[in-house]
Amino acid sequence: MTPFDTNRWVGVDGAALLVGAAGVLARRPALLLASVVGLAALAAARIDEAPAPTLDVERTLSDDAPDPGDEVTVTVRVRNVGDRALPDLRLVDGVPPALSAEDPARLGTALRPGAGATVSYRITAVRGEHDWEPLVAISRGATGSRERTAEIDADTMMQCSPELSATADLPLRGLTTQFSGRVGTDVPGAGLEFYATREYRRGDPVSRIDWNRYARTGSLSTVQFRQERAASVVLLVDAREAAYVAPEQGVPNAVERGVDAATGAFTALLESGDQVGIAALAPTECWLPPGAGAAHRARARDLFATHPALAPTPGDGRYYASVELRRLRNRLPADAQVLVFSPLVDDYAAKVARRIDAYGHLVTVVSPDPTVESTPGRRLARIERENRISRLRRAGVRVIDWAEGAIDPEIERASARWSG
Amino acid sequence: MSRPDPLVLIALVAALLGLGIVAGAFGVPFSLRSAFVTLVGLLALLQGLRYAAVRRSTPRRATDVEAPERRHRVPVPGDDVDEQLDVAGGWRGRGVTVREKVRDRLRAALVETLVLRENYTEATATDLVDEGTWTDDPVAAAFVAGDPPPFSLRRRFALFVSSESAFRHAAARTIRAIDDLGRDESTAGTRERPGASSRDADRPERGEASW
Repeated sequence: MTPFDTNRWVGVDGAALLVGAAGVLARRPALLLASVVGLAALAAARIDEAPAPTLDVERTLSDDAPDPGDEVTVTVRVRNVGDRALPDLRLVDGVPPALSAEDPARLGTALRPGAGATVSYRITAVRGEHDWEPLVAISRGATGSRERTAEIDADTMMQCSPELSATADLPLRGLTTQFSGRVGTDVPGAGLEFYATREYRRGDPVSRIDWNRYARTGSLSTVQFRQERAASVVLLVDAREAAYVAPEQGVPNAVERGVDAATGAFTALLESGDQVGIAALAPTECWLPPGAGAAHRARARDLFATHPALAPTPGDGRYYASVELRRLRNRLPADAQVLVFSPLVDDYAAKVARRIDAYGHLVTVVSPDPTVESTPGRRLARIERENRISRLRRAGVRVIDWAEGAIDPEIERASARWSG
Repeated sequence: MSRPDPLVLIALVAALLGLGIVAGAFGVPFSLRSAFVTLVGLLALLQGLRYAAVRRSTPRRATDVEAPERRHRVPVPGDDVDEQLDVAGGWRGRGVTVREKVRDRLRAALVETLVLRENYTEATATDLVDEGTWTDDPVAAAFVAGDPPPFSLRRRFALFVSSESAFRHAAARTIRAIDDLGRDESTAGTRERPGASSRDADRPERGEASW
């Protein structure tokens, strides 16, 4: 970048002239001489130039693949590889936008040719793939009259993959696929829960004969259980720019909470034998078709950690609402249930949930609540969100309204309500 | 060749003139020791004041680096409404359009809340809003009905001396009134609600809808 004037010495000429004038008018030679000092300093500032920083930057992380919540120490070593001294050098490191540093990620120093300096700071890891932005070096001359800036790249990346730990079992709805699993159906067959008794037929296993009834009535009958089948579930995360909202600064935003909940749900569903897929409402395409098994699990973990659509900060690009919805509809397997993770802060997400419901998929919405009541506008946003949830519930869509804290109690509360 | 700066020419002529005076080339009508020196001092004073004034109007410049230690800031839901309320209260031309927008949004939210929390049909809810009988707060009722707010003299004075605009105050009261709807069952039950008998018969029962 080209150097520019800092205007730091503007006015010193005026001050020197005023002192000189006072010396002349009061006939005091000492004051007149003092004004010469000011003029000399001004002359030095005029000829001073900001040296271009030629730096070698090396950034190291104490752990480049931490778990979410881990503390990572970042150490930046800077060395002046140019042949000019840098008398006033300010360094500001490019901490990735999704991370917050607990110490200042900056340093003010002076570097002789060949000399080096180090700055280190701690960050708390959050889920995602984080690329460091270039380090900004601001250089000034000795008088500080001119300044120039340079951006120095030192490729550094940290990948923080979420632990795939299961949340409480998400209550799924109704019959879906032909594989055995945990979703209760209205079809009698193999299972755990009592369904009905019927007249004994030849070939029925002896263990299924209702002996109490035989003792009472003398006729043979067979006990039937509720057949349980596997579900095909797609986790749909609302990651449009509008969904990046939070009740206050410094707390996880609604997309981060949604992805965390989806991660937990993914593991819970997979462990209970369901086929799980992942999709996102986001400018960047994100789709993992429903599947099961260890390879699928690894793919999902990678996707939750690194996919740009699910990043903790909003991405660039425009979201084409109707095109994306049509694409999602074409991809959804006919028998798939959909779990939508959205803060429901605008009408679009609610519309998507209702539309998918209308296409014949069973929909459950998990909605992290990002609203507060501190100002009139925020209070209105809260009212509108509550209304959206009520509308969805009236339309037959299940909604888990997830206030702050862990999601498990919310799921349990919702399950109790749904089964009651 | 570029034209010489007139100020440089004046300075050159002044310097030559000065040297000539000092060398005694010209006869001067004043003493070099007193009046002339005072004149130079006054000129320096004037010029010094002029340069000092330049300092006042010249901002210092420095590279602006946003704090990289902080996380990316995301908005809080409803910040857009607060921003609109600030614009709507001002005297700028945009205010009128924004005022209409805010009023429409509040009205839509109110009708929806009446339908969902108090179980009115949409038509009845709209009538209630137009009549202003949905709330006990006359300012909120007038605000969504599009009437001028019936502020008391005391309130008018309070708004006049405070930094809050009348529009913002009325909007905030309306939002509070909407939020209070259906919150307190004991008052909601005793309050007279015209049109409550014509509730939507097709609406699912409360127990059914309370997923």
